[in-house]
Amino acid sequence: MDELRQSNPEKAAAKERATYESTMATNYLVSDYASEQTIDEIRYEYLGNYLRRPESVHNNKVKVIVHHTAGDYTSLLTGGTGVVKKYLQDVYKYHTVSSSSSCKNCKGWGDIGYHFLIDPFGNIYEGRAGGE
Amino acid sequence: MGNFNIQQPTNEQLKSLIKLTIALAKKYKIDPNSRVMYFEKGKEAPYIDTTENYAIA
Repeated sequence: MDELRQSNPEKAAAKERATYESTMATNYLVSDYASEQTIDEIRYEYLGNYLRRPESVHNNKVKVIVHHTAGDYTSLLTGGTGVVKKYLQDVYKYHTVSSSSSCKNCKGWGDIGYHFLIDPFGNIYEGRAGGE
Repeated sequence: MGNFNIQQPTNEQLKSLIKLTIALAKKYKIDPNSRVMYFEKGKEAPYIDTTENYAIA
């Protein structure tokens, strides 16, 4: 590959890009989607830079999934806004930090897994990007 | 936000959930009365795991 990069940089870049795209499509995108969800476009770069986590575009949304967190909300009822903020930060930490000894079972995803979160008072918060 | 395996959502939460779901269903033209069932076999419920740092997901 180094030889090719020196002799024919354009061809080397194209080859690197093809490898990158196929890896990303398999590892991060297509394999994880339910069969009924179609992917219309996959964006691999933004402003000329490769994205570490490519973005997929779904023009046709087929379902809404309602989910709950694993954390008890009781402390939020009397704790005030600071406690709600801390809860949201803990969700963010749990979903985005890679699993290690200090963060066991943490997910290491690119963002919070939920598009929206609802606290016990009925306030709706924006979660991951793309939830508008 | 809350572990609904061990507690019930509050009324305010449910009201917001209904509003949000209706808005999303309208926006994406999804029939709110249709249903999809998902289940996984042989997996323990996640809330039984009490490992540290596992409290909030």
